[in-house]
Amino acid sequence: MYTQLYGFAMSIAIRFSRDQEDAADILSHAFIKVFKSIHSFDRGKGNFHGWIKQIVIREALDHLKKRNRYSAKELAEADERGIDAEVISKMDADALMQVIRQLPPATHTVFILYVTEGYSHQQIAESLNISTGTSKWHLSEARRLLQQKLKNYTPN
Amino acid sequence: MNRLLPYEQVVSEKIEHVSIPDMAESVWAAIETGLDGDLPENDPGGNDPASPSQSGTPAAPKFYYFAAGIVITAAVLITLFNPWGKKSPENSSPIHAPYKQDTAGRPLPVFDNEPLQKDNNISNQQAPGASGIDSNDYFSFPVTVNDSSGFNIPATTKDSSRNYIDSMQKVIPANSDLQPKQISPASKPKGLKGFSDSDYLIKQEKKN
Repeated sequence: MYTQLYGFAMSIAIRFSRDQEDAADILSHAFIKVFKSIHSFDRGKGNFHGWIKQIVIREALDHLKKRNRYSAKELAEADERGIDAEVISKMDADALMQVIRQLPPATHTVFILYVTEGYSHQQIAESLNISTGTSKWHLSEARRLLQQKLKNYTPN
Repeated sequence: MNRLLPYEQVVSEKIEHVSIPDMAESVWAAIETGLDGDLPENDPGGNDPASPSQSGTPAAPKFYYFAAGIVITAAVLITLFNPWGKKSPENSSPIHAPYKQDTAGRPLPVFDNEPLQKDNNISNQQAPGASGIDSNDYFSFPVTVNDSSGFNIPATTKDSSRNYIDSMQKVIPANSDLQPKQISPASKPKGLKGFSDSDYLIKQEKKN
């Protein structure tokens, strides 16, 4: 089961982590929780992969909470700063991920939750124990910083 | 669904293809370490109910050995000291001693070798003429023999046990098993070993 789920689970963990070791740490803790609570999995509440995904994301957020503090700054609305999509489309996925990892941890996490996992600001606020305004502020900060980094980005 | 900016949609698609590090082995080793660390220290077999022979093996024998030791010790002590004492079989039924009566209705001694018989049909039957005799006066009830056997034992009242035994020896044939045995205290050797009574006699020496 672990072998079959490793790729799927690692692809989630790697998005939230700063590096590969960080991802491996998140993944090992997530799988320990999976093995311990596998008897509590209820097929009626969702598929198995969805259940695994929730555990990995929750572990990644716990990992982040232990080491980082979230900004107390809040925003009423997230800034919608535009970035040329064409530039990003030309980028390698790993290179793009490296740019995102350069964001502050909390900002990085909010951006991934909002953009790739489809969390709303309300869900992000509940998951990270922050306000929705703070979640919006982190998203705006992520857009601003990414615009700066991608403007100066030169592919290797 | 969140309203994503155009570049964010591209980012979302791109991130799906991030290469996955080949760390399956090291992650699995960390998982094993984590799971082993969560097991009880003295339970290497885990709590798998499918393997009851391994479940809790280190702790259980300690308890059973301790309990077995206590039980064995208690049994040995009871066997040696027996604080309740040896219970003799209880016999509540009276012993019916066959007796003969003289003309006055008083009991006579038994002459033959009839053994004492236990008669369960008789309960607390008292011999005629024995009324008023206390159990402590068993040997002192009046004995009067006046029959054709030719023996004439003087009647006694409140005879002592010694007199009764003497009278019985006269009445009961000598070869009878019922012949009362002489009660004699165990004789304790007098004086010192190797000295007789004559050694203590003072003899007057004759003077020449």
